[in-house]
Amino acid sequence: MHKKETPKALYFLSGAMIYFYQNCISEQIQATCTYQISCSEYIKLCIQEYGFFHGTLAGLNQYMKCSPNNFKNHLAYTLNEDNKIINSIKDE
Amino acid sequence: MNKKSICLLFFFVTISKLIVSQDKQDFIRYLFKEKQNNELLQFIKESYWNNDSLDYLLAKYHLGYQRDSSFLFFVQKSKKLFVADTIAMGYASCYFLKSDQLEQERIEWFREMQKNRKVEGINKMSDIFFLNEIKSNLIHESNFPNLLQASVKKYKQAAQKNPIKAACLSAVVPGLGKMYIGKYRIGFNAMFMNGVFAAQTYESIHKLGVKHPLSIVNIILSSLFYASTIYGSYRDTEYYKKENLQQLYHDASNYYSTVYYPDLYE
Amino acid sequence: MSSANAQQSDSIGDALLRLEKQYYVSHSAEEKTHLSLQKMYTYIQNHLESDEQCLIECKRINPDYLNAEERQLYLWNAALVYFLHNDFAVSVDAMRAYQLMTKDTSSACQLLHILAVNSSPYDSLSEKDLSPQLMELYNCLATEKINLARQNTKYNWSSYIVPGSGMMLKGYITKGSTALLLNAGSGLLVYSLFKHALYFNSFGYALLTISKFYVGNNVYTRKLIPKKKYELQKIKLSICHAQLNEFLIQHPIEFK
Repeated sequence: MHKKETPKALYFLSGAMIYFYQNCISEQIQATCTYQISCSEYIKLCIQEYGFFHGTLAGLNQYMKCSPNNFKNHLAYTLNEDNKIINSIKDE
Repeated sequence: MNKKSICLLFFFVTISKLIVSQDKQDFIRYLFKEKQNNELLQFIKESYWNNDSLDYLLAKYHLGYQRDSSFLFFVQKSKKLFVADTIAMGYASCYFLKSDQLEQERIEWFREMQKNRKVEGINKMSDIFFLNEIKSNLIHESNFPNLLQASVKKYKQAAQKNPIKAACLSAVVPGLGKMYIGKYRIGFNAMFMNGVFAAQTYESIHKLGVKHPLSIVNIILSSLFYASTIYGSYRDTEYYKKENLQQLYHDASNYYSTVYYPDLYE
Repeated sequence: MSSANAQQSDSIGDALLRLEKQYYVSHSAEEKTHLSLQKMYTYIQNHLESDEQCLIECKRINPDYLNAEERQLYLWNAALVYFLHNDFAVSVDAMRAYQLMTKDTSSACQLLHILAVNSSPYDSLSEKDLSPQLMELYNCLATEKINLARQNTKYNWSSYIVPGSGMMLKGYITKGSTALLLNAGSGLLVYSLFKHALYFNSFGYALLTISKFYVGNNVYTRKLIPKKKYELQKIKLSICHAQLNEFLIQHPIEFK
């Protein structure tokens, strides 16, 4: 999917929110992710790759699937050494 | 020297060469089993340096240690000899079936296997690799070994799932599209989150009006989550088929490598 | 230079292959052990001890077929090889067997023992194993393994009452005040929504904000070591590591 042109304001707003979350809030709530690329990082990379709307939808989709015991439903070869589910932004 | 003695001499030389070559093969097999990879490489280079088999043995060596690029390089140079070795071909097919990288190389490999339909195990593996090109209703589990029938059935059911149907189901009841592909916990989670956001939005619009900042925030959040549920149902259904296919590849690779091709240097 | 390297690696390869051929042909376990030992020493002499093949040779050797002198050397070298390949438990066992046999009390031996035990999560050393100076060093290094957070539970309870206070009492003022702001802000939001009869909104935002901030804060407070103790530990450890490096320079650990 080709990268769509996102309005700069949205781009910077989303970047600022993700930055604020990653540096201030995630430590406070002791956030852990079952995925190899964490949900916030995934949203950031998807927005960079696919544009604001597609990236946000993809990131929120991963966020809704992210739960502590989710890795138990996955097979051994889809998990890395730390029992995190291997994911890639190329799958979107 | 008379004819009889020449014939006897020729016979003994051939037998001894066969014995020596058999000994070399036994030693290679031993070195591979004992994981003596440096010694194995040294031995191959030493014993076969002026022989046509050098590239073929180096291809086998790199295949045994899963060095993809080196294996592919040497296999190109020694195609005839490699193709004649059905065990090495089977071992390589099991390896290619399981590996996630080398997309193009895998496709080319199995296309070649399809042309060369001599060995049953390899035929079946190439059939399994191209299952995604066949319509799901034409796939019959009974054509596959007993231990793989469950995986084939699961893939067939996954292939019959329609992503558009999943998206429509999620549009009607958020989360239903995820349950459609069997992900009940994720579907329930999505249903719950969308339900809470919808209730919030309705309440804020009803009591505060549409133009209130809280209502705007709720509308944005609920519409984002709703849209991502629909998008997620579509994309996860597409990916569900790929996941099950990959699982089938893994199961098939494990089955054939255990039953038919456990040892590269048999 | 590269052709010289290639020639050298060919000669090492030749030597190893020759030994392996003899190993293959041999029927005696004792002879096989000695051939594996020779192979292991070939790797070590050519500075290839970090090669996985060296570890494989080390594992093939049965010390029961070695005489006393060979066994001593083997145990020392094996301890070092296993340590280099991060197999610390086996390295400690080999080290202990070596010390039982030789009663070696040299600094190099004790240092290797310390390094192996320190890296292994289940082993420890007692006073009789080390000299007083090195025992002090070992105790200092061993503090890295101790979970100081579990021992310092003094202010954990206050975070349940006032979120962020536990962190502040432990010395982390900015973290504590951030936690307090977040919890207070989200609490205020939920309360004002409830006051205005927006029950679904208050429930939703409580789920999204307060629950995560409150629980996260308590978990985080329990993980934190009081700041002064943490900084003291950091300084102590850096001094210990500097001392350890000095010892290693004065008494280098080498293959025998």
